[in-house]
Amino acid sequence: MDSSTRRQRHADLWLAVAMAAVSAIVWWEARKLAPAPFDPLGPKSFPMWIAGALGLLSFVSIVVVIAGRALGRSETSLILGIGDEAPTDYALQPGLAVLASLLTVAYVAALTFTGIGFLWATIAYIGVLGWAMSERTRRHTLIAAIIAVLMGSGITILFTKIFILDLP
Amino acid sequence: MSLAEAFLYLATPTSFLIVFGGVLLGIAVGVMPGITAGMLLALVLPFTYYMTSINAVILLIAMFIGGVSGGLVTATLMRIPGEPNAVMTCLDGYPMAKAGRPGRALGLGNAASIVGGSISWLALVLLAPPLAKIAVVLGPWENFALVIMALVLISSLSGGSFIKGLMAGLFGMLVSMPGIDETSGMLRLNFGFHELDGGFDALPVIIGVFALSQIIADTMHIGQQNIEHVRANMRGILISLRDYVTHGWNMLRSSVIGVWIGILPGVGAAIASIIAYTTAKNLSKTPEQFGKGSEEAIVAAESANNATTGGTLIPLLTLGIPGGLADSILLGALVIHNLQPGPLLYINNPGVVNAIMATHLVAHLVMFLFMTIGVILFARLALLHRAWIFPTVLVFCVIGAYALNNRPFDVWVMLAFGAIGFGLEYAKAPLAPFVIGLVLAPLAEKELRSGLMSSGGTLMPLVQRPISLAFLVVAVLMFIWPLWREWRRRAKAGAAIP
Repeated sequence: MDSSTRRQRHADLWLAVAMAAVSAIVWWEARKLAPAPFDPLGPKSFPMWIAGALGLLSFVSIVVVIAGRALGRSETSLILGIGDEAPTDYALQPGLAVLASLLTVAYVAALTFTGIGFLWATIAYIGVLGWAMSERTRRHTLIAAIIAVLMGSGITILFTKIFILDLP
Repeated sequence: MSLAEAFLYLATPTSFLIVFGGVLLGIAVGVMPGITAGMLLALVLPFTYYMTSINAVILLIAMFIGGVSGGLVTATLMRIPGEPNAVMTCLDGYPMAKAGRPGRALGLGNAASIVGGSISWLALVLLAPPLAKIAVVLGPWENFALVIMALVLISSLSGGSFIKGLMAGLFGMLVSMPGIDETSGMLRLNFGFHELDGGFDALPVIIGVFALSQIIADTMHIGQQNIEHVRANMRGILISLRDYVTHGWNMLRSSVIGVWIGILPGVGAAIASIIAYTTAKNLSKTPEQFGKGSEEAIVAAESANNATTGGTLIPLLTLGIPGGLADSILLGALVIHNLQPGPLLYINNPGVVNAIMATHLVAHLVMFLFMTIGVILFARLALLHRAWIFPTVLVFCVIGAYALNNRPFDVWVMLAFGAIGFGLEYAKAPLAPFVIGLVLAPLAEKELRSGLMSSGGTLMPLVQRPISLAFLVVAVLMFIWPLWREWRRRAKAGAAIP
């Protein structure tokens, strides 16, 4: 079995296990609901049916994967390249994707839990992330800084002064 | 507002500006690899809340048309499909551009796009109203069966894995369920979190799944930035009348394929262009030229992918069933604007339906104009380093998730569903069934419960009423078909082993 197939099989198994867990949690929570007197179905039956169907499909998927068969792959994937063979004409940068995710979580946490404010948090976020994604030369560092200031203040003015929206 | 009045409305300065801006933004996004039209629609959706419903749909349709068309530029000049539907254009557009005829390749693609778009508009205007008249008689049982059919159909046809499609659809349905149950008024599935009393808002979920997850994933491909590209030029950008005659039959055939594929839920423009391309190759007198810069190939691929735009709107407007990914977001937009998609939209909001139809055609004309005169500018946009775009788009994801309810919780929901969307994509599960499940589950539940209340708790009307039975039969057939196809494939593979 090649590494791509093995990776896909692991992903399939994780998907099926995660879906089984979700269906079990929803089913368990839904069964606690009281029935509605005038409504034959009530608020709990539909979620329980759907959770049951999802659980059944997840179980079948787990059996199929453990039996060594493939679940198939979506051909309409929006994310190019994931689970596929790595491209040959450039190098993938998964570390950068992890960094972008962590920075985004940190940005939202800063907006939610600190008083740093949208303007400064956004300038810092765009600047650092833009720099990390760029080629990190002196020129690119300067461009990242300029874009961060322009976009950070531009977006703030656009939404607070023109669209009159509350920003996080 | 009649269709004629809708065209007149589009001639007013505000709405014309909206169409212009929408198409321009759509093309710009279509040109940039890594940002798709669906993503743009998801991002803009929260801000349309502050517009009238008619202006909001005008903007979204204009962006949709622009986005579908913009992929041509990067496909031709960089061999990168700016949009997934431009994948077949790469095969011949790039070789033709590399052979010194980039203007000709872009001109042919652009001409094919406007022809495909116009034919699909005709189909939309001719097919949608009679279909809506039939659909208006559907009762709760038929509507419930229709949603089930749509979910099975989209899982079955979205390609690759049927079981994953169904799982994604059911998961989407579950995500829509926390919060106050509309029929009984009871609180359910909030897991003790008061923030979930109102349920998950569809918008942060859609932004997370379609925009955030994709940007994060595309960050991995940022090295693609530096690959070889051809410089655009204007020579041959306007094709002659003779070219239209020469390629007329191919344009017509590929457009009809595009419209038909567009009507089928979940299949999408990429598959339409593949089928049109293959058909053109099979019927060509010079099939050996395909893949080496064939004019017929570019025309087939581009006619078909633009023709899906009208096709996908037909089931959306008449039945409330989206034909593709971007349409799922359009469906979400209609719901956000308190417009119930489906046949009643024709009765309750004819102005919105006619505005959608009129915008579909006008946006194609504007797109043709922009792509003709501004192609060199768009080509430059494609070369813009993604490091300067992605962080700003991520900030828009955060603002978009927050703006609707001013709740930081929604931003965290968006982040969580970004991770979930990434996981689903990583496992190669299709996302379209997830959104269909998310958006249509409340309707399915409401209709089922309403039907059960009127029937005294029996499910029998579901199989006793001919239309609902027909929908269920199609659902069952579409459920069995991929399993049977897989069984046949395995049987053949087994027979081939000596």
